[in-house]
Amino acid sequence: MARLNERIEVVGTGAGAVAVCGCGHEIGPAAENYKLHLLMREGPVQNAGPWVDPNGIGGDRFVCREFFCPGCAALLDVEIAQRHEPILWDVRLDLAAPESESESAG
Amino acid sequence: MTDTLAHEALSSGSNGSLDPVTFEILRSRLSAINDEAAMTMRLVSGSPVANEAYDMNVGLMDADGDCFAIGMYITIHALALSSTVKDIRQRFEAADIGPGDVFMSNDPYVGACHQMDVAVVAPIFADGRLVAWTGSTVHQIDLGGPVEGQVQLGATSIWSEQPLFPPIKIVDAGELRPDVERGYLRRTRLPHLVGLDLKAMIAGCNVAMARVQDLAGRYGTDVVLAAIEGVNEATAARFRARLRELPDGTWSHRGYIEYDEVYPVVVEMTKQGDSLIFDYTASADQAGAVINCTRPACVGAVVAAVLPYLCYDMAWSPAGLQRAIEVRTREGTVVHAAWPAGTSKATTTGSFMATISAGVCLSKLLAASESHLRQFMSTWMGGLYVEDLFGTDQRGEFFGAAILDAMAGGSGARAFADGLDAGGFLDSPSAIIANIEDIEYSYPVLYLSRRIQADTGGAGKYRGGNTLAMTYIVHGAERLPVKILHAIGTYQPGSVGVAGGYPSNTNQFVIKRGTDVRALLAGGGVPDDLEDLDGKLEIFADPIVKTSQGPDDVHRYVAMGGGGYLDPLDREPERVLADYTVGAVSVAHARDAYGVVIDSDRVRVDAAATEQRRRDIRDERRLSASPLSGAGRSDPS
Ligand SMILES: [Zn+2]
Repeated sequence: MARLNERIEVVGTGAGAVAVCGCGHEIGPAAENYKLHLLMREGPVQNAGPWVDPNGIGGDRFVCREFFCPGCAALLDVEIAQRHEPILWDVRLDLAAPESESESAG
Repeated sequence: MTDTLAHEALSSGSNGSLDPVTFEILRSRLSAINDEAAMTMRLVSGSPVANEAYDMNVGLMDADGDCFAIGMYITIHALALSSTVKDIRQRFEAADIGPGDVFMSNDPYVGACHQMDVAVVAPIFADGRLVAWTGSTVHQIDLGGPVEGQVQLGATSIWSEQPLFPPIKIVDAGELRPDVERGYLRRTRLPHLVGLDLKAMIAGCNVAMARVQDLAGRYGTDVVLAAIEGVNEATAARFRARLRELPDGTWSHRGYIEYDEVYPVVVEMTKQGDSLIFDYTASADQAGAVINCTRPACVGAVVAAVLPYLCYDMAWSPAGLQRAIEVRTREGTVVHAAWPAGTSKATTTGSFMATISAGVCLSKLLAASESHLRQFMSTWMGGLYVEDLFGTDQRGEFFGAAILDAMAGGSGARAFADGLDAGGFLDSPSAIIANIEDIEYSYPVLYLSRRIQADTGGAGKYRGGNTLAMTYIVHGAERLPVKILHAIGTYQPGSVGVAGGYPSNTNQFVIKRGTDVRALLAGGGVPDDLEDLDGKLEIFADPIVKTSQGPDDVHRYVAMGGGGYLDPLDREPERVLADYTVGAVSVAHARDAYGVVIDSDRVRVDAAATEQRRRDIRDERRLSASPLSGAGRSDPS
C-alpha cells in the first residue's frame, strides 16, 4: 500500500485514491496536496521551539505552519516558510504506478 | 609482475570482469588506500582544521577523472577533485601529464568547492600507463583577499574575494617547484600553516600513488583497471536496485540562506524507477559574491546527500551513482553561479543548502517506504556556524583559526530512535570537533563551558539530536582583534522535522560585553552561563559579523540540532522523563511540546496531569487552527 509517511496512507489507486490519516479520517484526494485538507495554524517561527530565534533577529520574515488532522488533531507536518510563500507540496506520490514499490525484500 | 592467481582472476570477457573474490579484495584495498592517504595528510598537516576537525578529504579517480572511491570525510570534495582532474585532462597536453606530477587548484569554476578548499591531484602511472588519479583537499584558513579568512565581507564579485588559480603543476616529475610554491604562499596571511597543509596534501597523494602502483605490480595493471571499472559498475547496479525498491514520486523542499536578503534553495526531486532527478532551477538568483556555489559544487552537494541516505551498504563510488542521478540547475543562481559571481563561503551556504534540501527530499522518500523506513533520518544540523579568528596568540605570534565546534550539530530523528546528541553533520561520516585543550593550546582563548544544550533538537515522538552551546573568553592575549562570525539558519531552523516532528533550533551567537567574569574567576567561581554575569548583551542581527573581543567580553554560541519525527504528543512520557534526568529536555519544554508534566521534586511523570495536558493541547490545536480546503494556496508548480 502506498503512503506519504507512517501517518498518512493512500487508499485506492488512480483518480479515486484518497489520503487517510492513521486515525481513519479521510484527508482528501491523494492527487492533491494533503496539507490543503488539514487544519493549519500559522504563527511566528518561535512557535517551532524554545530555541528558535529567541532574540527575534529574523523579524517576522519567517512563519511556522503547523498542520493538524481534522479528525484526531495529530500534528502531521510542520513547515517553516517565508511569510509570503505558498504552502509547499512536499510529497507527491506517482499514483499512476501504484505497484511501484517492491516490498518483497521484507 | 603478476602472479598466477591474478591472471586467472582476469576473466576472458571483453570487459575484463573479475572473479568476485579478487574484486572484493581489490575494492577493499582501494578503499584502504584512500584511508591511508587521509591519515597521512592528517599526520603531516599542522592545521587543527585537518588534524582535529577533519575538514578535508581524499579521493581516487579513474584515468578520465571519474571518482570511484571517496574518503570518509567531507563528501562534497569527491566532485571537486573529479572536476579538477577533468579540467587538467582537457587543458594539458598528454605529454605534460607524467609520472610524479602533482597539480593544484582553488578555482571553484574549475571544481574547488570554494577558494579555501584547495584541490591537489596527481596522476598515477603503472607500466607507463595512466591508470588512475589521486586527490586530496584540506580547508585553508586564509588564502588572501581583502578580509581575513574565508568570508569576504563586502565583496561584490569574485574580484574582491581570494585570488583564484586554475590547475597549475606544483610538483614536476617528483620535484617540488619552489617558484610555484612561493607564488602560492605569497598570497596568504598564514604562509607557515598553508605551506604545511600543501605538503600534507602532496604527501597524501604520494602515499596513494605508491600504494596503487604496488597494487598494479602485484595483481597486474589490467586487473586493477578492471577492478576500478568494476567498482563503478557494481555501485551503479546496486544503487539502481535500491532506487527500484523505493516508491516513485516527486518530493520538494525550500531551504534558505540568510545574507543581505533571504535566498531560497529550492529543489524538486523526482524518483522514477531507477533514476533520480534533482531540479534546482527554481532556486534564488545569485548574490554578487560570498554565498553562491558553482555547478560542480552543487553536483557534489547532491552526491553528499545521496551517499548517507541511500548508499549506506555499498561502495561509495560517486561515479557509479552519477550514472543514475541527474542534477538540473539554472546558471545565475545561488547553486550555479555565473562568472564572475563570488563563492568564498560556498560550502556553508550554496552547496551546504543544496545538500540539506536534497537530504530533506531523500528523508521523505524513505519515510514513504515501508521496507526502508528503518533507514529514514530527519535532517541533520541544517546550518553550520563557523568562526574565523585572527590576532596575536599567547606566544606573541600572528595566528589565524577557524573554530569548527558547531560541526557537533544534532543528527536527525530516526523512525525507531532519537537523533544523536552532537551527532555531527550529514556531509561527513567522520565529523569530529577539536578537544577544548587543543584549541586553548593553539589559540589565545579559554572555554568557560561547552556542553549539550537541552531542547535544541526538534521535538517529536522521536526527537532530533541536541547540539552544543559554548562560552569562551580571551586568554593569554590582550584581545581578539578580528572575529568573523558567520552562519545560515539564524532566522529559521534549517533542520526540518518530518511527519509531524518539529524542526531544530536556530544558530545563535552573542557577546556579553564588559562583564565581571575576571573577578568571578579570580574568586574561584565559574559562570554557568551568561545570565550569571553582569554586562551588556550584544545580539547580532546579521548572519555575518566582523567584530572583536576584549578581555571582559564573553562569547557564546549555540549550534544547530537535528529535526524531529512524528507528533511529540505520541512520545512515551517515560522517555521524556529520561531526557529530563540527563538534561536533554527542560521541564517547560516537556510540558509545552510533549504535553508531559514532570514532577521535578520527585523526578517522576505526573500521569494524570500529563493525560489532561495532552487533551488540552489537542483541544487548543482544534481551536487555533483553521481549515484551508479550497483556499488554493498550494504552490502550483
Ligand atoms: Zn487523524
